[in-house]
Amino acid sequence: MITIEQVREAISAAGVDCDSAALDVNETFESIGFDSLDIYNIIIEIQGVVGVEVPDSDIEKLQSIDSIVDYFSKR
Amino acid sequence: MNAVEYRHRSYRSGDEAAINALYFRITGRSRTVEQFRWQWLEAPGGVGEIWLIEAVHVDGRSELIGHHGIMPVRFTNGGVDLLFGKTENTMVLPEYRRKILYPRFEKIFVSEYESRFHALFSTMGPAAAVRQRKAQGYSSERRWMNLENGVAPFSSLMRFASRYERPFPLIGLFKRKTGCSGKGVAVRVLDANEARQAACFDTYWASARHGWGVAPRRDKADLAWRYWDNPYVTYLTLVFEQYSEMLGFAVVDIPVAGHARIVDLSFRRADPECINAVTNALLISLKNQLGCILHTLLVTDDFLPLGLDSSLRQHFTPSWLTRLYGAYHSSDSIYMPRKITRKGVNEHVPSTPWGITPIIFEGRA
Repeated sequence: MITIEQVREAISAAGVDCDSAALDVNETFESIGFDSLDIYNIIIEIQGVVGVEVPDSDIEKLQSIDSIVDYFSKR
Repeated sequence: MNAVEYRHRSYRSGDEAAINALYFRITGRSRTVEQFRWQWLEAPGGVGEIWLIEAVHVDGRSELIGHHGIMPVRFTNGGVDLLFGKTENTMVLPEYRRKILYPRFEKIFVSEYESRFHALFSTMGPAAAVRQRKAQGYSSERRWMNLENGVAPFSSLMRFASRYERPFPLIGLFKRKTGCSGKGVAVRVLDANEARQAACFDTYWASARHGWGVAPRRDKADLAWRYWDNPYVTYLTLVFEQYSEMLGFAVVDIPVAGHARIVDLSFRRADPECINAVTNALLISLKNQLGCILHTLLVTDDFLPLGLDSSLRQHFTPSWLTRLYGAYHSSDSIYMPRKITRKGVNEHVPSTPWGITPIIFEGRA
């Protein structure tokens, strides 16, 4: 399990150039302008928080703050 | 399209056609199997590091969706032989860029090949690629400088017009002859066959390398692979001699009439007298015989050939049109990312200065 706040903190910790507190939880990272390196760094941070490695085949499911929370609620 | 697994592996003989198809889908550029073999399998530095990402679909079919390559490039640091790796053809199919974490794969690939090389570098790339490299430990302190000057409005116009035309080889326009270009420096202009047979290259780098720091090797095998056997570009090689001593050489490409690109420039000795003699002879030859616009790229590494810029301005005066053209092609923000590996640190390889010319583009810039 991970919360919306923890995802926002992970985005900040990943060094992504944005105001994580202001992000819409449903907006996709791609539409915000995050590139693959941003998403990689975010997922590395989140994996550190939840202690679970995300397989490559699931990466497409992690495209917004809300989808990350939803994904880990089912794991 | 829905993959159940993504996996990676290194190149195996027989992958060439699939890699070239991926290259075409992503870049729009065709490449033959022979061109692939020249670039990735036949370089003097050895077989390239070729790493592939595959999607495995539900029906068990695998599809090549990504590629990451490192071309081995032989360098020297004075008398020490080094092997550097150049990142090349890093690419993922657009429809898979949201489906995989490419940096995760590159991290794995780097761990597989890093111990083979003293340093890794990228020639240049878009900002996103520079960021990817930075995440892998590359630094981007040095930039490329674009030097372009012309001798006449006519050639400026030709150069400007060439932006809208398909380039065509015009090497034949260069009047091939032996001549003298000031201060008793003889210039020999060689085509690929003549250069391959020229004895002057047999021992040149063994002597010249000691005057320089970190620089790509110019042994005959390196020059032959890079220039004379290059399947993409036909080059002219200019050899500069004085009192029977080879002072240096230049490799020039003439992509359109009135436009010469210096792709390599090397001096036997790192003293100003030798450098000036060679650069003056080169520039006078090009100016007299081509009446052209001259273009080259150098990195901001403070290595001696930077003096070339002042020589260029002495012989080639920028016209209003070249200034206009140059304004469109500034390379002020194009960086050259580098990383010294653990092996390089142990050999005390510095990250700068490197004596870099467009040699590292293999004529495909």
